[in-house]
Amino acid sequence: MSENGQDSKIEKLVIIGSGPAGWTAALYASRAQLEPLCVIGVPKQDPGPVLPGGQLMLTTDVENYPGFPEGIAGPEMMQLFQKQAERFGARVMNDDVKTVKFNPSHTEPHVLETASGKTIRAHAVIIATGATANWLGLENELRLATTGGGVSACAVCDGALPMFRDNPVAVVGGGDTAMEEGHHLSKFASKVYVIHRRDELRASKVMQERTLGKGNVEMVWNSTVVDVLDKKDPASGADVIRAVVLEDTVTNERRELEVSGLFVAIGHTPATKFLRDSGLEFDQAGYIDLKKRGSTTNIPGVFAAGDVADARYRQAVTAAGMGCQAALDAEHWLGEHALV
Amino acid sequence: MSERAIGCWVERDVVGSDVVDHLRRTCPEVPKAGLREPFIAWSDALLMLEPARSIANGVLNKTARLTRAILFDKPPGRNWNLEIHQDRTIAVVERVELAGFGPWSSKHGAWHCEAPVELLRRMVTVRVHLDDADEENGCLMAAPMPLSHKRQKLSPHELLACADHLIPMPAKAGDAVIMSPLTPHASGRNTTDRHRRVLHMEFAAEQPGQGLRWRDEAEILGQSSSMS
Repeated sequence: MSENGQDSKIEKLVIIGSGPAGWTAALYASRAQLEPLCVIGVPKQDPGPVLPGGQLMLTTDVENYPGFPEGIAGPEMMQLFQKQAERFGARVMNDDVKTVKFNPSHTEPHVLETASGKTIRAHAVIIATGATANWLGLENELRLATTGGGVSACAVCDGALPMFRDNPVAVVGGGDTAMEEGHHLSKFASKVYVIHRRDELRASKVMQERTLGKGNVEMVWNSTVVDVLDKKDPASGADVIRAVVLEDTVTNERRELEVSGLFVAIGHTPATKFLRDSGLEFDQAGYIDLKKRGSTTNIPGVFAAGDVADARYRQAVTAAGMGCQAALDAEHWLGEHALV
Repeated sequence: MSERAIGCWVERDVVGSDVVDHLRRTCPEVPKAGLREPFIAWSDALLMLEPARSIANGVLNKTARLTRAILFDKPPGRNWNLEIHQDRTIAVVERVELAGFGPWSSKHGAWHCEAPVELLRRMVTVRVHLDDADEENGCLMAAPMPLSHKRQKLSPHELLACADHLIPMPAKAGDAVIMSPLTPHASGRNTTDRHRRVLHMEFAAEQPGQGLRWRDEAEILGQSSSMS
């Protein structure tokens, strides 16, 4: 590395991201002698927690990943993923990619700039940066979310906190995630209101039955949350949620619903901010648009895997599969262009 | 410390590069145990205080007061690794025997004691970097898991288990690492020819309570004539 952080070396393959997709890509690529450099990020609040290892780092029990009959903690699973990839030679860089300059011609390498000022040049790049939870966008919602005021996008992370125990809480959303959050919270809260803007749910029937069958879960149909109201917590003096303001989507009438917690479960946004102006093509929802049923993007030598390119499944196991595809596609592409 | 926040994270460009350049030029030599009372010995350190306090205000959801500051370095050829631990000790004005506080010690003219977990949960540490820090020159390693940092004091055995989950917190000069005192953390040796200087500042929003008081901030900053 030179003094200005410019590395003259051209990496065969750089993998950005460190969830199941990133580590699986690293595993396959390292076994293929591509010596992948994995840029795994650093912990940050954006506004919710973002950790190397991705969303599974915020998951207590993973029970649907094959090979773990008793389940496994998300962080432990990601540690095993990393160890397995490193065993075959994957290298790790704890940094964030800040900007990219992709070269559509394979004769020139792609150039990545990191947040700490390093420049990485690479023949091939796999983007596996995942996705983060969406928020409603209300001022009080984000303020209380980032200050421990009882607003969260992760019931599994926060649902067991004392502030929610034996108190009424609300979940916003109508998909499987909202049902999962509601089901989890029903173990702790006295009442779980599931607020949905329509009169029917997108969630799978199984998830609906499982959650709505709980005696303390109640649907609030045709309603949106338009404000979050707070109060001073007498013990800590901090601002905490006291109610949400609901607007009926049919009558436009507003009312307050008193709750001690608000869990936002309205989907995710792919982590693609650093790809602005990169020339990559995205779908309407902002996910990387993959070509030919594989991991290839519209830019030669740039591949994508996992939640950053998958709005539909968003599972650890599908992300891992996509990571495998991306590594195999990258290996094939590098060989085809005599770059390995 | 926000219950929602993870136990440790990096904020970029908290102090501008011009200021960092100036600070690096004027920074005094740092003894092995760290430079206590850095604001008294080095008035330029004040340039880092308000950016750090601004972060602490946001984390604590209140106006934060500085309770202690230490300037650390891991100079080339003369450094060490730090085993995994939590920052459980606070500095206060005077010794008051209270349940949950202690054991007590006196360091550099200030009373220190181990604080109860309820107090530590309401504190935050902001570490502003004067040099780029990475694994090679001994950057902070932390176990920032959301469910691990805010719960309790950990036994030596539990801390050792956390060592498997340490994540490097690389930061460049001008960045800040934000951390709950209860986040298990460690750091390695500096194997480079670079320094690893960082101003470590601890903030709290409220007095420790039960008659205990933080040192006056003016005193910590060397702006008071009543030094103890």
